Parts: sequence; C-alpha cells; structure tokens
Amino acid sequence: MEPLIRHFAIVAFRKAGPLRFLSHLDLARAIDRAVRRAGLPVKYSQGFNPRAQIGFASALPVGVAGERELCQIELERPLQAGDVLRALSEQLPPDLAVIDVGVVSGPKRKHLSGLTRADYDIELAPSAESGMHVLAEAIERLMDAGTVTVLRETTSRTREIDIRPGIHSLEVHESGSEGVGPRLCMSLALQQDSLVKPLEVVEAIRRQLGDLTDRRVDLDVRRVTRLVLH
Amino acid sequence: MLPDSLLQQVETPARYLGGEWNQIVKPAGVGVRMAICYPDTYEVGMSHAGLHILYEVANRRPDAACERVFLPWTDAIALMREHEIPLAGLETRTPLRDFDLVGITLQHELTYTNVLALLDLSGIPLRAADRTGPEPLVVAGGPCAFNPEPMADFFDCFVIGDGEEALDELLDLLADLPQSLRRRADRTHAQRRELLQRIASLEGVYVPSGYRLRPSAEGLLIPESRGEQYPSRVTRRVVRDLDAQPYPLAPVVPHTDAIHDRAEIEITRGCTRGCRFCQAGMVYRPVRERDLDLLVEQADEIIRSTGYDELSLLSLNCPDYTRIAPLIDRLHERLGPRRVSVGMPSLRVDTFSVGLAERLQRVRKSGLTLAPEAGSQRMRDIINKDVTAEDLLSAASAAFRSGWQRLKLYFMIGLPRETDEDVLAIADLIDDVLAVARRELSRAAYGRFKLSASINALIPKPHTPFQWLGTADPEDLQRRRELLYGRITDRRVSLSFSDFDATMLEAALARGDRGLGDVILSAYRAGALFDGWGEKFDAELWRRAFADHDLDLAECARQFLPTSAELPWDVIDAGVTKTFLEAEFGRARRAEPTPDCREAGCVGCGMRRLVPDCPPITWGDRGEAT
Ligand code: SF4
Repeated sequence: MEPLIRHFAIVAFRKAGPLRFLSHLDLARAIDRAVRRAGLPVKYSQGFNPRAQIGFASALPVGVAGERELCQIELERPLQAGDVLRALSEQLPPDLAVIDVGVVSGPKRKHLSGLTRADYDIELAPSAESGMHVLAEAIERLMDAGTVTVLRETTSRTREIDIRPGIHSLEVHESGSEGVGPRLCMSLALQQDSLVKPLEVVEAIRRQLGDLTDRRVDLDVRRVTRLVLH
Repeated sequence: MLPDSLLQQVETPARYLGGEWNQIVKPAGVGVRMAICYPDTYEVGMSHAGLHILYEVANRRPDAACERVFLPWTDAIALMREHEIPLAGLETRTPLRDFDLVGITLQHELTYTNVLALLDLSGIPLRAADRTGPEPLVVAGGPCAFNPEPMADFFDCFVIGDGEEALDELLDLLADLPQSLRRRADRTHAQRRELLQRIASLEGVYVPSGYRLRPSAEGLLIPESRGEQYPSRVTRRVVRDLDAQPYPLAPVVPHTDAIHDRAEIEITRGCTRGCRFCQAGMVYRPVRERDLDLLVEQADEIIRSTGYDELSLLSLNCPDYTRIAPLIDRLHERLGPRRVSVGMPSLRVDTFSVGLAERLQRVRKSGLTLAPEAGSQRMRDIINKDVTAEDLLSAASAAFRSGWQRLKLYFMIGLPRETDEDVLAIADLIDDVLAVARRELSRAAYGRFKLSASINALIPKPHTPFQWLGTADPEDLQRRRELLYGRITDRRVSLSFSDFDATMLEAALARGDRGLGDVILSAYRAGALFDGWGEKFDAELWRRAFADHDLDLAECARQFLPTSAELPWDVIDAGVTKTFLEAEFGRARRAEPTPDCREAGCVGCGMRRLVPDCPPITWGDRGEAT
C-alpha cells in the first residue's frame, strides 16, 4: 500500500514580552484560534471532539520567553509557505509573531520529535556582576563534577535527579553595559529521559557558590529566554 | 499592572497582562475615559456578556475610551498592597482613579465586598460622600441595582435596567459638559454635586445622595427625594428594539481559560413565563428578540473575528425564541463546516426542548440539564413553574432515547408553604426519573447512568412576588436536607445543596436597606472577600459584622414583611407594579398558576406603562416554524 502523504506547516514563532506569561495551554489555544481565524485548511482529529492537528516541539514554562519556538500544523493540502506565513502573521499579536514557515509533505507524522537540545539565556540581576570570578569558578566546578543532583517536583512527588548528563554547555558572560546583569548561557537536553530545566541549573550553581564562599552572591534571575531548539 | 518580578510570583499571571486579541486601545487624550469593572476574577468577568456589550457601546464612540478592570486574586492583591501598586485598566495601565467614569457591574450580592476591594486597591475613597473632588464617578449597573440601597453608600449613581442606551446618554452628558465641570483634576465639591444633579436627570439613573432616609413602620430605611431634580421613583430603562443595539462582533478573546470561553449571541432578552421566585423574569420584561438573519450574520462575524470553536445562544429561555429550530439549523449550516459547535445553556423541561438539544448535540452527548424547580405539583403551582411531572418524565425519556446518559436536575427548597411531603416529593420524582432511565437505557448504559440533583434554598428577591417573604429557617433547611439524604440512596444519584449560610447572607443583602452599607464595610475591613467562592466565605465573620451594628443576620434574612410595608427598593420602578406583584403573591398562596402573556394575552404586570404595545411577541409569531 502507498504510504499516506501528509502535509505540514512547520512554524517558527516568538513568545515574547508580557505574553511570555501565558501558560502552555493558553499559548496552544491562542495559536489554535489564530489558525482558525486565518482560515487555513487544517486537518482535524476524528471523534466526538475534533481538534485541529497542531503540535508543539516543547512546552515553555510560564514566564520563559522563546526566541524561536516551533510547532507543526497538519494541513489538508500542501500550501505555499509564504501564504501560510502571511495568513498567520495577520492573526497573531507581535509578541507571538511568526518568524518563518516551511511546508513539508511526506509520510512522516512527527517533524519536531527529533529535537534534542535547547539553548537558554538567563539574565541575572546587576548585583551578580561583582561576583563574576566566583561565579565562573562555580560553573567550572559544576561542569567538572561527575554528578549534579537537584530536587525535581512533580505533581505527585519530589525526587532527586542527576542533571549533569543533560548539561551540554554552560557559560557566564558579563553584560558589559551599565545596569544589566551578567548572563548565563547554556545548552540543555530536551528529551524526556535527560531533560534539564534552566532554573535547575541556576539552583545547582547556587549550591556550588555556597560551597565556595560565605559571601552571598546574588543569583537573582531577571529573565529566562529559550533561544533556539536543536 | 504588576511588574515582571511580581507576575512570576502569582497564580495565573495571564489574568493581569491585557493585550488580548480584539482589545481596543485608544490614544491618550480621547474625550471621556471609562473603566468597566467586573468585581470578580478575570476568568469570571471575561465570561460576562454584558461586559463585552458595554465595552462595545463605549468604544465605538470616537469621543470615549473604555478599558477593562477585574479584581485580582488574593495572591496578587497582597503583592499590590505590599508594593503599593494601584489597580489599573488592562488596556493602557491607567490607574483606575484617573478615569472619568468607573462602571461596576453588580451581578450578585456575594460580590459586594469585592466591589469595595476594587475601589480600595485603586485608592478611590470607598464612600461616595468622601469623594469630594476629582475622583471618578463610580456607577453601578446589573441586576443588583434593582435594590441599590445596601450599596448606595459606595456608588455615585446606579443605572437601572438595560444599559446600552443609558450608558450612551451618560457618555453624551460627560462629553458635552460645560468647561467649568469638565476638568476633573480641579473639580470642587460643589461642582461634583452639580454634576451628579445633572446625571440624576437622565432617565433610569438613581443618584443616592439625592435622597434622604426615613424609617418605615417596620424600621426599614426608605429613601425619599430631596428635591425635584431627583425623581421620586426611578424608572428602569427598557431597550425596545434589540436589533438596533450595538453588539460586539469582535469581542476581546481572553488569554486564559474563562468560565465561558466561547462566542455568544444574545437571541432574546427578558422572560414572561412568570416564575414567582425569579427576579430576571420580572425585571427584564417583556420578551424581546433579535432577527434571525441578523443573528446568523452576527454569529458568523464573531466566529470569524475570534476563532472560537463554540457558539452559545444567550437567553433566559432559549427554546422560547419564536424561530429557534430554524435558527439552529441555519447556524449549523453556516458554522458546521467550520467545525463550530453550537450550544444552548438554558432548556425548558419539555420534549420540544430535548428535541432541540438533540439537534445541537448530534454527536457528543454530554450532560443534559433540566430545572423542574420543585418536587410536588402544589409547589410548582405556588412558584408558577409551568412544568408537570409528566413533562419531566417524557423529557427525560426523550433524552435517554437520544443517547444522553447524564442528567442534571435543579430543585429549590425553603419555598413558601412547603411541607416535608413537598420536599420528599423531590425524592419521588428522582425515583421516577430513575425508573424511566432503567426502562429506556440498555443494561450497561443504566449501569453507567448518573443523575445529579442540585438543590438550592429559595432566596426571595426584590421586585418579585416573593419580595415580602423571608428565607426559611436554616434549621428547617438542614432538616429537609437530611430528609432527602435519608431518602435518596441510589448510588447513581448525587445530591448537592447550596451553602445555607451563604444563602442567608445573600438573602439579607438582597432585601436590605441602606443601613447595610456599614455592615458590608465592616465585613470587608474584617477580611471578607470573594464571598461567592465557597472556600473563601466566612459565615462567622459576617454574623459578627451584622452584630456589630446591632443586627442579626438570620433575622434580616428571614424577616417577613406585610404587603402594606414600604420597601427600600420602592424607589425603583422596575416596570412590574407592586399591585401586580401583590396579586401574584396572593395567587401563590392559593397555588394558582398565572399563564405566560405571550400565550394567554396580557396579565397586567404593569409593563404597558413603559412599552405600550406590550407584548411585542406572542406565540402567534411562532407560525409554522416550530
Ligand atoms: S404588560 Fe402584559 S403583555 Fe407586557 S409583559 Fe406584562 S403581562 Fe406581558
């Protein structure tokens, strides 16, 4: 039998400004409604409660901005990527702007499941600037450590997990400008089994700092941004 | 409103963001600035159709700008207090105290402390008497405005009845003020008083400061006009032609899961079925409808502009729309291909309604809700609920045959002249429905069948035939609750009762006089807030607040008044006359039903004084359609 050919729009978009405080569910609803307003010929699920077939690469936590988030929209028929971009752009606010769109056709149903890493940028409060060298040392130690355990809460329980294997890179950079704190740049695992959350890394650095010095170094997180998914 | 660092700390920050799809932001310096406030959370307030309507009425004017304001949840309130952040409009973050007009809708009595919190968080003095200069005009509307007295201390004025035209006139007045009254910033106390006097001349607007209080024979405070600028009775506004009214075709789409997260079209307003406990059925007469073609176009446009996948028909009684079946078919035809489902929140207890519901829910059979309201025929005659046990059983049977496997029934207890037998008749009726379910459903389906019965205590409301009655004794209510729990043991049936303490408070506030203003303020100061939210409601705190002013909450709720009594809300002419209400009260005592005037012709409720050709719609208008 011929494999069924499916058509997908792969949409890269931002989640920025105040709208970064939308929950993943709210974001999904906003995109769903934009797609409906745009009148795109979207595939719907079967059953009593048909849903538009829209899937997201990865949920962003409430408050975390995304520079380039991804979702796939299954279409009834192949469309020009430019037409999808234009139609969707008209229906989304600037804080959820579409960056680019690709349209792919083929038997594949999941185009976003191969993503393994996400890069994050965390802006710290300016006060952290004074402790730059301890901060750098704490990060070095953390990266040299065999295991880095943090507590992760799920709805049902709290457990200890080792996040070290999921930290691909971690650096600290001075902002260089007055009134803006240093930034932590990191690349973290995205897959279920090795997933690491950016604030867990911050927590681990805090603990390293505690071991290094009795002087308090403020790790006040100002803003977390997910830059890109790989 | 909240800075990023605080947004990170609150539950559901999406409530406080603004910037939703279809939000209207006007440039600074636009004529009259108005805030429309809903004294509850974002999710509740954004579900309220009236808010969207008034937002449209104001914002379609080039000389007005209207923003939305909701009450932040307790976590955000605490942070705002700690950081001294004032409450502000979602559209431009303008602090509420800098608006010209602050409109607050009063949907039910248990939001009264929330109203005080809205003002308090804005830095607006709570009492109207303390607002002596540049503060905004604080205006109330909504069903609770039909007895303005308990909240009269806190509002500069109340708009009674349909708000569309009244708001337009109020905005006209504010937009055309003479130079001396215009500049809010340096408004003097005398100028503010002059402004309020002008507002009192608008039809349907009650300005409490224009009335002095006089105790009645029963000790109630009765408002009395201070002079001819203030009408002795304020007549409710009635919109004659719904089709001519603005309706939001691009309503603001909430950021986060609103209670009703869907498109709505208002198909009818008002109801003349005449249930004697129902305030809406008395104060929103007569029944008015929108044109079918117009409704289909409105629905189409709202779906297009919002992207909603659900449309709900708004009405006190959807099946009463004269051409309901063709309307549903047309909506399906137009919206079905776009995968929009059409829902109808209110159903009558009859097979016709179930047939309509069947049309609506062709695929998904979620629960069906019916409201027989009382167990015995005698009780249903007393409350004038035009439904028989046979109606209910044949409606249930039709529902089961079309595949529904969940049923919800609404009942009331604490009705006038109710005996234990009347209450136990609820259990009998539920037994009969179960028997129908056993007969109509397959064995497996009957095994899964669920019936929930929601049982509320009667709360007598102003401008209804029961306005002279108090609530039942809480101990009687509790005993009757136990009676029902004892009688209904089938595991398929789940019973839920209203909180009788909250019932007593709602009743006391509903029929209260101006003396209750101090009680409400004391309760608020003592920490009462979100009283309608079950877990936040503190009955003891409220009892103390009443006691602090030498009042007994339960006595206020239960107070029985002679029909000769002067009532605090007599100052409002709701359209239905006191004579009619009294006659209806008499018929209730004799368990005599009164027919719907669309069917039987005018029954003399008094509305003809306001709408001479009443009723605008009769059953004859149904024609072939049904
Ligand atoms: S005035 Fe007569 S026709 Fe009009 S609503 Fe009242 S009873 Fe019905």
